[in-house]
Amino acid sequence: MHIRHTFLLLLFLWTMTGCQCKQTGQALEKALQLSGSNRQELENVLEYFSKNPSDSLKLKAARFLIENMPGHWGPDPESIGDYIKEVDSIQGLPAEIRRVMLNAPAMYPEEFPKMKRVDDIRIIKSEQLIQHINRVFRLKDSCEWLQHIEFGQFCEGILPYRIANEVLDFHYGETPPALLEDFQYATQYYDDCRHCPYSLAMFLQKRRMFTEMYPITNLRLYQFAYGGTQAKMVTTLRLRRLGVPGTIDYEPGENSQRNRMIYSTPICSRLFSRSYHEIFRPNSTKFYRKTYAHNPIPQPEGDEYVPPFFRDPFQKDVTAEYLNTKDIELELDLPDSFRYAYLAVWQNQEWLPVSFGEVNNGKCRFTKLGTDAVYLPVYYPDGQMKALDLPFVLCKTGQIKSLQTNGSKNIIIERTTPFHGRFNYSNDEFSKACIECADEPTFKNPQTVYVFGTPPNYRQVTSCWQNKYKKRYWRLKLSNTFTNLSEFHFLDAEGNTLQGHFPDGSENVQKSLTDNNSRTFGEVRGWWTVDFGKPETVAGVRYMLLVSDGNIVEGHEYELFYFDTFEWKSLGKQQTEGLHLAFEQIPGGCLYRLKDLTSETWGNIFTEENGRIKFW
Amino acid sequence: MKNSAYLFPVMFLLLFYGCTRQQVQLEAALKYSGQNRMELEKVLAHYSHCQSDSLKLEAARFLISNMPGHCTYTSPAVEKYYASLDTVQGLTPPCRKLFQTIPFDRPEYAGGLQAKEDIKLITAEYLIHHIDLAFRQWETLPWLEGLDFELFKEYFLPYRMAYEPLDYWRDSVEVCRNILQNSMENYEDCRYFAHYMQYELRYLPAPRMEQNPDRRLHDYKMDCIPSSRYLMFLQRWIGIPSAIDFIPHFGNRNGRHYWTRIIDVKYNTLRIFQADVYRVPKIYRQTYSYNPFIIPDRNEYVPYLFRNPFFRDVTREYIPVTDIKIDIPWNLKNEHVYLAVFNDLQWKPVACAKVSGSKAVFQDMGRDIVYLPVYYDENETMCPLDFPFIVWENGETERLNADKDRLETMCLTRKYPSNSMNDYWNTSLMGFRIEVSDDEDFSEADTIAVIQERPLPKYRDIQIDTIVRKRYWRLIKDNGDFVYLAHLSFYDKDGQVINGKAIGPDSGAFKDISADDPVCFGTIAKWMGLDFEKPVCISRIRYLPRNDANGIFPGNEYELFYYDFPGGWKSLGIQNPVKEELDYTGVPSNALLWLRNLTTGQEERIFTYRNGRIIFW
Repeated sequence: MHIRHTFLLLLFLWTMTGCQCKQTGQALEKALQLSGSNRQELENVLEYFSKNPSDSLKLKAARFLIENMPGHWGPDPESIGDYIKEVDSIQGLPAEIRRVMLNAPAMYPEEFPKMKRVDDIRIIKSEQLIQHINRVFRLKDSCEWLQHIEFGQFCEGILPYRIANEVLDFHYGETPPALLEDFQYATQYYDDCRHCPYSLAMFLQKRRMFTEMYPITNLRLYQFAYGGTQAKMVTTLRLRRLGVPGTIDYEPGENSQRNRMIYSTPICSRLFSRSYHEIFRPNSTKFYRKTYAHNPIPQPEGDEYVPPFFRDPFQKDVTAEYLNTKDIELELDLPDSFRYAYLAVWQNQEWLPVSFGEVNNGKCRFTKLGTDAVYLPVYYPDGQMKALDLPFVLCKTGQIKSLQTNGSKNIIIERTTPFHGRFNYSNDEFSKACIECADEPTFKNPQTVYVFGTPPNYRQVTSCWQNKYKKRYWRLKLSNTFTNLSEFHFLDAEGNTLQGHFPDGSENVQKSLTDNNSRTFGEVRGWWTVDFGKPETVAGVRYMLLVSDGNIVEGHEYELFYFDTFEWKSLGKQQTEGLHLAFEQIPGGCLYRLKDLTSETWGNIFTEENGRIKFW
Repeated sequence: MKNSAYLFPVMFLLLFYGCTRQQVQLEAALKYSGQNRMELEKVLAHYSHCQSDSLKLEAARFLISNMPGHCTYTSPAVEKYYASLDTVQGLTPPCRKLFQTIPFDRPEYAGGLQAKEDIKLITAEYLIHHIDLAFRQWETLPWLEGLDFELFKEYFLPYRMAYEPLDYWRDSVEVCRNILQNSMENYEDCRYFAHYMQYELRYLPAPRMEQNPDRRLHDYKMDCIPSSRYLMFLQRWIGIPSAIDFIPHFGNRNGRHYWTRIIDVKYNTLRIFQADVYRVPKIYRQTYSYNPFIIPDRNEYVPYLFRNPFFRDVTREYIPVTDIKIDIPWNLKNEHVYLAVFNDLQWKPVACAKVSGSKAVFQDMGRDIVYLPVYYDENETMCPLDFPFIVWENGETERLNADKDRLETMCLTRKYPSNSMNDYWNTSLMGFRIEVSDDEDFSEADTIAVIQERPLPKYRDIQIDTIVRKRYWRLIKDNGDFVYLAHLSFYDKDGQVINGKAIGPDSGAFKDISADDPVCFGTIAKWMGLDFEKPVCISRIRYLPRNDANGIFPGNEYELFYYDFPGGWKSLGIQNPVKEELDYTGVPSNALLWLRNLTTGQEERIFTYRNGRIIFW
């Protein structure tokens, strides 16, 4: 019995090993086939590292690079020769910034109409790859923190010869002296930096070389160097140059990589690889990581269109590193000629696909989805996005709530975007403020009339009191040093604004606080006094704190839309008089969005339930 | 006292040990409750009438099944303290709860403490009231939407957090209703995410020790243990599910760490609380419910950490882990063996494994740490099972068997790793100027030296041209940053130390700066000077940046050890250095080493020596 078990185990292991070898062998063979006339160069690399058994790890590294090379490309230098000259004319440009600037043609193809792309697998030279691998291994041998790194993390975190679609270039240039100085200082004097890439990355990223940008005066070139994802690529490249493994995590973001939320992520085998910046966006749904290795992407049969984001095989879904996720299965009525459906989220005024799934027997499974978000199932007939079903809310429980119109309702809208508490300090600044009155301007013996309680948040609030003091001087007195107010009016018993002279603050502040315009504001330091010229009875105040954005603005025209039968439909326009909008008898239960026609700005999408608006 | 806390429910443990079915555990708890059984059965009966209460019934079963072992510690002195606490006005309920737990940490109240077991005293009315309120919060607080029952019952439902007296604390949330209401009504982020709701806690007054009615407790230090207790209670109080997680012993520094973890339905753990910069062998969580634990055999000592049924291993939630298999000598009779880490100058157990034949497997161990496999003999003494070993960051292990046939020579400059987080100690001195003047207010002053380079944490001398003769000398930094200085002394032209009277806005720092103690430091925010009472010539100024005093200091006595098996630490000799380094010869290669300062200090770490470099562990 025992012998039989051992035999079966050995058989199983042999089969598994054989399968694995076969799989990796297939990937390598496929890559070599794709290399066409460049095959000999790649084989030279493999042969070079096969000669000496002590190079076995380098051989594994070479196989990793070659197996995953198909799909990696950069612009043909000749097709963007003028741009390269322009970049190289910047004196003293650090090598990493140059490298990411040479990624700009791939990021902004419309600016480089003559750009031709060339696949690495067809042009890479054996000498280049051998030198690169040897260089990275020299780095590995010289860095104490890399002695025991997991090989997979080494391959992704430090081995790749490119970071994006920059011009293929194996010239790394000199390490900037300031960076080298910081690096040598950290690794010479600090044990934590010498033994932990995470600590070293933390230390280095606070240094000048990481926090200061190299001055580039040409605005266009500046954008190519630092716009969008470029700056984080520089960080990752600099860390890799020094032997600190790193990668890049990002949210799918907008329709191109230019504006994605992106994070430079250190890799340390001792820790989970996560960005050490806390990623706080209430509407986060997906996180991806830039990889050199291939990851599953849609493999359509025929000419089924796949959106650009999902054509990139070099990104790995790492949502579960950041969010508690759910998997869902949807029944979708996808035409037979289509194999893939997508889930889109609403971002920057459009539906953006963030996840894909393969449809089998009318069912499609989507995995690792962030919850508490609105998704729209879509597909791409004729290359254009089309909704497959109604949008739905994926609740935190994993339950799916379809956003289907249901009856009619009245809604009141005060804001176009959500109001968040985390960074709202206005309430703090205003808390415990009071109203005082006195007979003399110095407020030597003031009478406290009213103490503010409930915080006003983003609303304009009227506070009244019963005491009927008749005094010439009245003031708002803060308990804190200062606050910013949009409006502040002293009122009589009928609620009318009392006119007076304001001895504190500039004319601008006086105007801002009394102009009935919620978007102008003034800073009040300590107190805000009014001199009525004669004793006056103040019965209350109307006031509003500074609200940076998102309120309904008086006098603006708005148009409300709802999402029905796969498109946004108008529910009519309204001109505001106050600070809210009221829509009556509109379809209920669905997804809405509001446009400020006056300022030509859109608000977030929202739903309404039990009289409460929830933004998504 | 605490170590005996789990002896009293032994009968209960024996009743249900090995049974996984909740019904059996519940029955065992009811049996153990003795005369209080009626009260507990009342609770179960209360929620059995109506089908809609089925989840509350489950909650009641959960609380009762896991109740044995939970208790209030009391004594006449503690009762008196509680009575005086009740008279204090203006304490928020979480502060009051915190104050209730303080006596258990203090020697003043250690005598005569007795455990009042919940299972034998709790009333049906209390438990029903508590369950109903917890459910009401679960069902109505918007950020709790999606919190499943398993998370709810473990991280929100429990009626106690430590050994404090039971009271109706859930009712007291009315105190902060305004804050809660405002956050829920107006802030979208707080309304829907516990993670954001925590930021609203900033509006609540923090505990102030001077509010404590017992003046002896005013010096109570709010370190991470009471802070985490306070925060967990505060969060549960306002409706945020949370738990206390802790690292019992760090793997590469002294001490331990406790923190409060929010259980958020949407967000995964984003921060790893000191597990990033320090090595972590294990992370445990305090739970209300029972976890697998060891009931010690009569003849086998088991450390407290592994006897406590309310600690759950959550290491793999935080960091990548490795399972470690060790060989067990054939003649070892113990049922359990341990992995220990070096912490606070001794080996401390962090993980336990059951011996199975000739092997034992430790699951989910943190990486990049040196472990020593140990067992406890009949005298409760820790004994090594083998040489210590390294678990590298990729999970590979390496045994540190000291090779006495291959000896090495080494130069040692520190006994404790230097940490880049303290870099500001050195950088703070950059740009620091020395000015001289004839006026006390330095209205006309000359700069005679500037520290340009980043200084190292060692004594350094600035040579001064003795042509300068002034009465007032000062140190000043222009950019307003704080400067941290451990030592400063002035030498006259004959090389003798010269003393003056400290002047300037930061003259108070001079006492610490002039003390002959490298750990002691002063902070200079503006400037600090010396009035020598007459114009003097200075030949040099000696200074030392703030530092951890873990370098080698002439005048101190040092001893180097290596770890041998089975003998343990063996000396490689005592040295009294005359310079800031030690030279040792005849050191066994591949050994685990430990440099001790026999004169002073507490921070010492084990290390290995590879390719001419020290690796601290």
